[in-house]
Amino acid sequence: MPIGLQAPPSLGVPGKKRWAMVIDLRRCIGCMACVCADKAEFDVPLGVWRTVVKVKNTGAFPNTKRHFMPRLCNHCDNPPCVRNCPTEATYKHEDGFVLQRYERCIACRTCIAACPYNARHVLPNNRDHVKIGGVVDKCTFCNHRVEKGLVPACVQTCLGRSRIFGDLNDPNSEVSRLVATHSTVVLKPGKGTQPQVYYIKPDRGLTEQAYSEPVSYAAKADARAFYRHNRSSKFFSGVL
Amino acid sequence: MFEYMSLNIAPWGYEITIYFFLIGMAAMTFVYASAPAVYGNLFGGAARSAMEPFQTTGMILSLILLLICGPLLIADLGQPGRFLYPILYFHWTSPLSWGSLFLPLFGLCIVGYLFALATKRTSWLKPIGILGSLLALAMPLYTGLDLMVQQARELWSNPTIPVLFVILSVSSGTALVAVVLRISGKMTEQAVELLHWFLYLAVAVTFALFLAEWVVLNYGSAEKQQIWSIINSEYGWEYWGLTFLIGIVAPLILVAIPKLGRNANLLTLAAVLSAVGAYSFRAVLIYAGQLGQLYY
Amino acid sequence: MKDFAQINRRDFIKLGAAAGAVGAAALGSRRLVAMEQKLGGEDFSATTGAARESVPYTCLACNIEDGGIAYVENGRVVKLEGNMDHPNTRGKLCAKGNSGFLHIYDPDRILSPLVRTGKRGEGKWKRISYDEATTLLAQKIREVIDRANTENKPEILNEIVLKWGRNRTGGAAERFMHALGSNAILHHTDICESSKKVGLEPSWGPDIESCDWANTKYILNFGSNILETAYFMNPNAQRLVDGVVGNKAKLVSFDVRMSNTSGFADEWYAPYPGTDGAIALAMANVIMYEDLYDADFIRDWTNVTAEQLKEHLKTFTPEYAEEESGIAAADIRRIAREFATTKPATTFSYRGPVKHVYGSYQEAAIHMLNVITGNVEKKGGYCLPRGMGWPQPEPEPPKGRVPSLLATPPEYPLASHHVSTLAPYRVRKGEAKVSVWMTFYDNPAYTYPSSHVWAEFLKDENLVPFFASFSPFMSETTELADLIIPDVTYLERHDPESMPSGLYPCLSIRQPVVKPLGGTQEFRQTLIDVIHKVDPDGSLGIKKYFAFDTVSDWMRAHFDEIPGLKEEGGYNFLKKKGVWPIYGKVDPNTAKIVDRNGNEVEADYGLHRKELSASDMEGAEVDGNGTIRKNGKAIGVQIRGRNYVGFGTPSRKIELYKESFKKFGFNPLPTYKRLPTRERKDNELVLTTYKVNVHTQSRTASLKYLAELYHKNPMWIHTKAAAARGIADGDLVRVTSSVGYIVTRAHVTEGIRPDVVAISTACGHPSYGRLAQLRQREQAPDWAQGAASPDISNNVWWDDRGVHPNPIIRLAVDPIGGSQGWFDTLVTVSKAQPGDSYGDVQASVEASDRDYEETLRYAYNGDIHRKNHPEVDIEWDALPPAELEGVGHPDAG
Ligand SMILES: Nc1nc2c(c(=O)[nH]1)N[C@H]1C(S)=C(S)[C@@H](COP(=O)(O)OP(=O)(O)OC[C@H]3O[C@@H](n4cnc5c(=O)[nH]c(N)nc54)[C@H](O)[C@@H]3O)O[C@H]1N2
Ligand SMILES: Nc1nc2c(c(=O)[nH]1)N[C@H]1C(S)=C(S)[C@@H](COP(=O)(O)OP(=O)(O)OC[C@H]3O[C@@H](n4cnc5c(=O)[nH]c(N)nc54)[C@H](O)[C@@H]3O)O[C@H]1N2
Ligand code: SF4
Ligand code: SF4
Ligand code: SF4
Ligand code: SF4
Ligand code: SF4
Ligand SMILES: [Mo]
Repeated sequence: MPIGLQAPPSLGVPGKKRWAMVIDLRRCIGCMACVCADKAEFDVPLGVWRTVVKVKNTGAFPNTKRHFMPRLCNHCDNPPCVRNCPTEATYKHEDGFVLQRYERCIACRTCIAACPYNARHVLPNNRDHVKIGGVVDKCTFCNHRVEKGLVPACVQTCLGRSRIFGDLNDPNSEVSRLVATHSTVVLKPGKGTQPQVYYIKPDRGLTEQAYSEPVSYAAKADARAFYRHNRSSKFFSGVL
Repeated sequence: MFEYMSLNIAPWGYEITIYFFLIGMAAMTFVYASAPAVYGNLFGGAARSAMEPFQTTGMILSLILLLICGPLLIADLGQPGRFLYPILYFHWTSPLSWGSLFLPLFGLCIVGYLFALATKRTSWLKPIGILGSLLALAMPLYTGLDLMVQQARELWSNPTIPVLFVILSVSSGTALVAVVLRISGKMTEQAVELLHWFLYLAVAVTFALFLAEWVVLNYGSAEKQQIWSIINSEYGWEYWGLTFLIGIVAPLILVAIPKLGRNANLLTLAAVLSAVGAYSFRAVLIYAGQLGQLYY
Repeated sequence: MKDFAQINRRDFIKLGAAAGAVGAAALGSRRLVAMEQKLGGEDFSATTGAARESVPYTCLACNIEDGGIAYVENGRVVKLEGNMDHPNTRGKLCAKGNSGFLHIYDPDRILSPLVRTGKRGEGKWKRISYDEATTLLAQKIREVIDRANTENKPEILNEIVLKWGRNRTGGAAERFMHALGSNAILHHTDICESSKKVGLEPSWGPDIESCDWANTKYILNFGSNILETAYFMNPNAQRLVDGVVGNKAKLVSFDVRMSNTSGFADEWYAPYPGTDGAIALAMANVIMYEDLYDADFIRDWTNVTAEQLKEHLKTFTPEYAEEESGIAAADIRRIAREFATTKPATTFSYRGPVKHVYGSYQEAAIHMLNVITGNVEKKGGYCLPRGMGWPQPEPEPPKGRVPSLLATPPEYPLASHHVSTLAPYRVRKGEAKVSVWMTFYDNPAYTYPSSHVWAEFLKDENLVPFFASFSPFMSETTELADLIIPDVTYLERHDPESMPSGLYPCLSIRQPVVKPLGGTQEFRQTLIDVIHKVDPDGSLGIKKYFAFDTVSDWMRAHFDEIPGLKEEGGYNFLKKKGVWPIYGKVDPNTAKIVDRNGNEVEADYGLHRKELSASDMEGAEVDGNGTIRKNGKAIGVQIRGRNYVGFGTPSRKIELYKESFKKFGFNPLPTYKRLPTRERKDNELVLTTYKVNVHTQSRTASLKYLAELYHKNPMWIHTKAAAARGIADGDLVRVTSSVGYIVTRAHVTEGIRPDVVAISTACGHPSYGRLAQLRQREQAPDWAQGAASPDISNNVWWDDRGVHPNPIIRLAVDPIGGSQGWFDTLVTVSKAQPGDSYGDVQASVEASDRDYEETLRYAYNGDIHRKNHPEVDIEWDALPPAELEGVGHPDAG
């Protein structure tokens, strides 16, 4: 049952699918194959990402470690981005995908503001092949593939087999098995969004809400260049 | 490998802040301008006598502000051509849809009011004034609501935000009215009285809400602590200097001391200062509220 | 790869038959919950939903040769995916592989042959046709041939030089040179990893190991970045994760800095650069003296005895290794014990330990750990590489008559993979002459040590009178050419392939997935055309080696007669499937290869234990050591009455004791030699370079997805080392070696040894198209004919292209393997000086000349060699003379 203004959830609803991704962080090697596969799949322009892999080093020499954290839209079962969209350009598919109607989006970015996970971006107008631009975009869970019986592109290529995809409503699926047999974590569960990307064995420093500005000079300098490119602003300010 | 891909841009920049500010100003200006018709008999007729000469000017100012706001908001869209979609594809859970509906209606009220004034259809003034005032109230309310419904952002997702935005619009509207009256030499005693009353109320409530915000942030969750640190590191001057000292404390002192507060010049100054605060308070809240997620 | 254990059809059938029985139990229950959605094999447009056309190919975005499927929409390659039928790729591509199609549409790709009009390197070009270009090149070559014939001096033919970097032509480039009668074939293997090869080949035959990652329980990694780079990046990374996470194997990694592999490892140790050998020897010492070794294996399968090894290893104690490497003796002991007692276990090593002077010793020492613990060719162990060969079309040209000084310098008789780094020095000294210099897939002016020397050399028209490049991209090297005959990208050409990137041997194919862009022509066709023009009527006897009408004919000649493949359709089968044989399906849940019934198709182990048949033994003789010989060739080894094929060595056993080494005064057993860098002064640091997971050497900086991910390479320096020099994170620093200096930025990190600094390669291009140089907003140069990319022109947000370290890296040759000591340069690091600006480079040719003289002193006939090998008991004054004789084997690197 929807609670409050929640979109009808599909998790546990008979007859519906609840597509979900499990990311086994023990297996993620930070190879970035997923990032590139995703960029190719959708001709994603430079400067925006549907999925990223965050990198974090911890410890002091010689006891250091490196952690990777793939991130994408969580296809929340209770997506705040959908609720707040003034045009219903973003909507929740009955099988759980949270999708965009590009032809309807006005790029007011309310949905970006609503998403607690930074999973959305505005597509620049200058693109190579897919000419959709000036609207908000995000990971689609590759619904165009999934509906044809394939896994998402980033799952397909994942070298570590860290990304696993399937229907959580099917008790025999691999994702169901993993969620049932491993302790998993979702991001910011307290936000009530009911994210459908489940992480196995995350490093706390990566999942917890912490103000993690770029730390190294190298990263800071890139951030500066990035914002300079976006009209010297961290904020949208008409960058299109 | 570095943390390259944490990069993102935050959704709302200065256009939105300016829009929020101006639309609030327009709303309160409308309330002042329509006061003779709407509240004419309240306060012993103070509103009527004070604002009568301001009616037309106020309405025109409100219209001008609206004519800045609309295009500004549209220009800020990635798809300006689709600005009617929020009405066309009305989504009732989205404050922005409501806002898009109210905004033109509000505009119609201004135009209607002006038309009634020009054609001397005085009987129209009150109903249009009441309707317009409600829509005017809806302007800062919906902009605040726009933030409030972002339940994922703790700085925004609390019921004081719409209240605060309404109150801030009182400040900025009062400032505009005060400046105009002062310049045009129409700052009568009644006008001073009326403006002082509103300003005192607005600044005092702003002060209270500022303190409340400060307490909440300091006794806050991880996310609030994070926002607190962002506010202090990136927006320290805007928050403490512009908003608190210049925008709240200074006008509060001015209006609280009866002798000073009823001096037309000082009242105007206090109102302008409070408008500065009203802008920067919104700016800090809007910006800092977004940065929390930017690197997450 | 010719030298890998060859698997023929018979073995393959046996392997297939055996497979059914194994693994059924292991997989049965898990199969129920396999990922329900299909992993790949078809593709649909994200915008229209239409199915896309698919064409199999073999990846060459790096050199692991993974199997891929290209998806084509409206004649355009829009996406790449791993080929699910490729047993080692298993349907997955890495970041580079996924981005490889961008090569085709690189706006700065060269789409027509160019002839220089200005001065060399000035960047002035005229477009000509392929016909004109091949005619010009043929004419230049013909002049040399005519001169050789008139003067009757075959050595003149060696003035025709072909230098390649990445050559995956399956023998085409070699055939071309041999047809011309030249042995001057230079290639990049010695800047790559040849000391590894030379550390291994004399011992067990092939030049690399193939670890059974997925089934192992313990992995000791020495200086290989398995999860990011190395042979065989994608397949190995997949199976390493399966081993470590799925099979709970322990991974212990040695690297001087925290690579992704070391960051992932259960334990990471950072040894002093160039001391891995000491650590491995100390581990061997522990294993031998604590009786943890596999006595049977040493007795049966090696040419040494346990006693002999103990004696040799006596001084290589963990305490000694601690002294050398800084790794605690207690850790070395514990790891040695764990390694020897956890079965199965394996080591893996790549460039870290071997890219040093004496790198071959280090490799031999690491290899030995697997031998003495008996992990060789075991399930979960250290296995032989499994490749497949293909026949060369007949007639095959013989090698040239005279060896080439440039390709096979006589000072390096053991360097079976040539030494190419010395070439410019030798030509400049007049020791060798060049008339026509050709480069294919090669960029020494960027990728070589002291790269400035190459630029100077190739610019000099007296030394290199004619220079032709076959590159489709304008690189630091190609821009110096007189003639550019662009090749096509790897997605538009034909090559036969077989990479031993896993335990399932297979053949694969590269074929045009779309028509070559803009009427470009593949290298193979250019070779045919040039030969046909050099010898139009066949009177020189050269043309007959290139009697192909089309490139397809050539491919057919490779593939149509292979037993097994022939029955399934030969070349046509490969065109359709991309890979042969097809072992089964990838189980989506376990990623194991399974048959129709879902049972694992297990790999074949114990290749050396295959028994010789009675017919094999017919007419064979067994010598005193058990070696079985037939017609003068060792074909196997007899061990306690059984006749095995054994290993690819003269004795058919593992030769830990290498007679060939001893002949030239090198220690026949694995040993360790302290390097000059070990005597570092306090203010000095050791400079290392490394590769990253999203770039390939010099050729991916223009691929936008990869450049976006990684575009600059600040110098890693440890917090303490930085503090001691007053350097803060991000400071501009001057890195100075004896060759010169570069000005770059410091990246202060905990993830590196305090006495080492590291700068990655693949950034800092002074050439290679606009994006690599961050000049994407400039107008396209007139030779670039690729389509405009609004994305690149408008959306590139980064503003730093990095600084390339190669100019200041010293030339240093491993006297055994002949390969470059990349990690043997000492530098001082200080805050940049006034006037320094980011990207400044200063490098001295004279200093490099001194390095050249210095490094020759380490060669077997040099003075330092003898001083460094007091333990070798030979007639030092009767060392064989340094003569031009070996022609080595040109290889693909
Ligand atoms: N992504 C990617 N993969 C590639 C390639 C590529 O360009 N990009 N190129 C391919 C080619 S041609 C090759 S040769 C391989 C190379 O593959 P690798 O050998 O794995 O890679 P490198 O980065 O050359 O060097 C490996 C590591 O050696 C470390 N190192 C330096 N000195 C020492 C030392 O003394 N001891 C130890 N233990 N470690 C040391 C460096 O820090 C580095 O991490 O990769 C292949 N795969
Ligand atoms: N500092 C530092 N230097 C290094 C290394 C390092 O780790 N650090 N690694 C070393 C190693 S391991 C190696 S193997 C070498 C590699 O060194 P190289 O073999 O010289 O480099 P590549 O980047 O493989 O490509 C060489 C050139 O081939 C051309 N090319 C690209 N695509 C094609 C094509 O499709 N067809 C043709 N015909 N040409 C093409 C381009 O001009 C490119 O510049 O670099 C070495 N250099
Ligand atoms: S940007 Fe587009 S999808 Fe997002 S809220 Fe606005 S209209 Fe909806
Ligand atoms: S992750 Fe963000 S964009 Fe995706 S469904 Fe949830 S709220 Fe919406
Ligand atoms: S599911 Fe598809 S759209 Fe989402 S990140 Fe993966 S590849 Fe991109
Ligand atoms: S492809 Fe898989 S292993 Fe590689 S970075 Fe992405 S999630 Fe991690
Ligand atoms: S490792 Fe990557 S780039 Fe190299 S061959 Fe495999 S998929 Fe291609
Ligand atoms: Mo290499």
